[in-house]
Amino acid sequence: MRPIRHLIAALALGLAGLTSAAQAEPLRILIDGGVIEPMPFAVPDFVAENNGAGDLARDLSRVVASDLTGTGLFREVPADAFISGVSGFDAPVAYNDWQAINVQALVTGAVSASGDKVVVKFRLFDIVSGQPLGDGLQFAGSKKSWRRMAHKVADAVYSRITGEGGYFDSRVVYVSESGAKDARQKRLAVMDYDGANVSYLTDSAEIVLAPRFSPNGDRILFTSYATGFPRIYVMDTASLKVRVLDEQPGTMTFAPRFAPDGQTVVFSLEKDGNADIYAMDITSGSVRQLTNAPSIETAPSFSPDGSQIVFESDRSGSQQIYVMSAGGGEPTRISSGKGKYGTPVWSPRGDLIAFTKIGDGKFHIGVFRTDGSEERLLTSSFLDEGPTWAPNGRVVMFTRETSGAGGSATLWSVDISGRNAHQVPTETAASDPAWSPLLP
Amino acid sequence: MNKGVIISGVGHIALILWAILGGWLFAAQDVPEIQVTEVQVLSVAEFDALTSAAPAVSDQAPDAATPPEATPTETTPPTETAPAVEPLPDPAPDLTLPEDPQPQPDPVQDPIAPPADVPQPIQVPRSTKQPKPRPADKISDAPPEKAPDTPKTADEAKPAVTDSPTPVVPKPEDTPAKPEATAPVVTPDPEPAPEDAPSLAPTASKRPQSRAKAEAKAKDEADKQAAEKAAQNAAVQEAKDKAAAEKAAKAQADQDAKDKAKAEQDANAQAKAEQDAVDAALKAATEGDSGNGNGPTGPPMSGGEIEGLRAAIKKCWNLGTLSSAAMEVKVTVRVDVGEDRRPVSGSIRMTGFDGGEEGAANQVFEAARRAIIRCGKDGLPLPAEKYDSWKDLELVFDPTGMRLR
Repeated sequence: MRPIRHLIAALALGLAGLTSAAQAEPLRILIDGGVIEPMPFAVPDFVAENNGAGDLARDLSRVVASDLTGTGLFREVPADAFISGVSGFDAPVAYNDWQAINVQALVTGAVSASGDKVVVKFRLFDIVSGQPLGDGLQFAGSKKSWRRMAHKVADAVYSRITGEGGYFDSRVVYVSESGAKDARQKRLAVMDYDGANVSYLTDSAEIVLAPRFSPNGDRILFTSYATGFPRIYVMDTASLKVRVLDEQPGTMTFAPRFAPDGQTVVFSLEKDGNADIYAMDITSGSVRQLTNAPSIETAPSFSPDGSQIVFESDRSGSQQIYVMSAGGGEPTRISSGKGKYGTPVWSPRGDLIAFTKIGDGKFHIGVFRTDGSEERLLTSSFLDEGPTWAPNGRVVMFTRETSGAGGSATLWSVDISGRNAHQVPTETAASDPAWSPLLP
Repeated sequence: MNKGVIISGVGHIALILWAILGGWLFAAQDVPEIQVTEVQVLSVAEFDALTSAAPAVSDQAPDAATPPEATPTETTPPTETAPAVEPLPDPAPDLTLPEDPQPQPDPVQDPIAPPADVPQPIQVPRSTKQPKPRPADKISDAPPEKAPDTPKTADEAKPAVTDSPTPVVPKPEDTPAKPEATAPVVTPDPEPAPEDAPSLAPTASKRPQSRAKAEAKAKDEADKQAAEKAAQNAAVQEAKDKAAAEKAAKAQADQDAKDKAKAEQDANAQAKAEQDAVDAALKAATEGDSGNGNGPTGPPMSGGEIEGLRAAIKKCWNLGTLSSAAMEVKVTVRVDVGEDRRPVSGSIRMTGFDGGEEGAANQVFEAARRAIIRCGKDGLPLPAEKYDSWKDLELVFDPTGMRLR
């Protein structure tokens, strides 16, 4: 009977093993959804580490909070709800107190000022997990640059929580408008992304249009009617010196944009009533024609890798969006929806293209994949146009113009999810924004 | 049909079955192979001559008792006794885990110490990133100056921060315990102090303990049998010695009887040990992971209960701050849950991810960890009587269904 006993023993042991193995397995559950809501955070006033830093500490913390709240991804818990404060930069964090008021992320900081020098340091805490989120950071600069330091802090916090790059420490060049709608005066202006620190780059003597930053922010391309005809100019942002980029008699040039290498500029050149896209080497001045069609080709924009160009054309009979190789060649139409499409701009991430769409009596800012799929309209109004991407590819800024004789242009921004559309404050009416890269 | 034919048919079938299966079902037990010893036939005169020439046999008999003991060992194959001993569990599994202090977390395991204890390093912005405002933006106001050197506090804190603790997984050679027994140790738990470990390990490895009990019982039985066998051997040896003193031929007969008796004892001991092992295994299989019977047991979670847990965690999982890259990543998270239905926060760990890069996966994991902790603050919606079913959770967080399209 031994074989039978062995057989039974083997079966029993196997059954026991299977049972134990099965019970050793954890309970596996798929969580295939969640909620999308702003994360509650708190930024207590930064600690002033010396007498001269009190106001600066408070102002810095307010800009940090404003940056984060402005994304729509965060919700600030007001100070009057705080149970405990932050007595010192190295003081222990009372996690329970912050948890009690539903704070999930806490930013603490300290500021010291000595003469014109300001030093700000901060830490970020995950209140739910009860631990710091990454290492603290410290920035130093002049008192005049305190807002940039605040933006740096906010960028670091944003990046640490969301996992994507920030965009607060960036600038926007735009066209500042003044005067009546039928007699607008326009000049170039530049500001922080949030509308602060406005500087004017040109006067109102000539009409200027379509400013565009170079990839590293050291130059600005724009179109001016100084000669009575549109011409492309390039401005050095340090010296504000301006020179015409190309001058071919009997032509008009407009809609310029830098290639990612900063050495090539693509633009539209109109000659004999026909506009095509050209590329110019900005150092040598040599020009190549990239399109050759009897239709209007304009608004070219490079892909981030510089290999492709997206542009608008009416070669099909209506205004649509096409993609072609950076060296020219047969383009491929990627817009396929009902209506007209224009002003395409390739995302810094390379995954999306933003555009203006005209349809059903409305203007829209929208995005779709680089092949035209997954079109998503983010806005709708009387006149929305001219999108520009934030450096992280998460936010789009554009011009919104209201109707009527008293209507004016304003700058707006919207998350690519379509949420958090809001006006960007500007001193004057403003249009044609172009976002700079993230400042170094 | 003729009754004779039926009887004949049944008989033939039985004979055929016996011929086929009889050898397997009714095989004789493996008795030790009979030792054959050549016997030389001697005449009475030759025998007398031999016995008279031999030295005093009776005097040497007590001393010679030990050498003959070797004979049965030689005649009994070692493999016959080995099975009863080899399965016995080494008590080391239960002892080794508590004795090894390495798996226990060190107090400095927290990668980033609280600021009051160990100040966070204040990193000076480096040129590779963008921490330091610099004058590149010529349009703006004067750029910030370069940050000063890192404060001393940063240097002091760095070692503690950079010494990221790694859970010490017991090496296989150090822990002969079964995999089930080692699993709880792999999970880093910063809470228990090292001295608490010995009491925790047995509790966390219930099944191995149960199995060890069965094996210990089998070992006790085997030891008992071995003792009986030794006593029997001694008796047999005594009888054998007595017989050897009388006549060599009779001694040979006694030897045969002794071998036979020993073989029967070994067979009985082995059969009993096997039966105990079978009983223990069957008991373990049928009772499941009841362990020592102290922990709550019960049926597995129902679909409704699982759905309730899923819905609760969904409500706590905020995807609002996830990047588009993170929304492409599925992350698997393991968490231990206490009997109070609260997740052990130190046990929450990412065990895998799919669909993206590690950085994006970490974002998903952090959001998932917050969801688990927030949801479990007052206890997860779990049936207390089914603790064994949910004490170890594996949650797969999949945000891809909510990404922007």
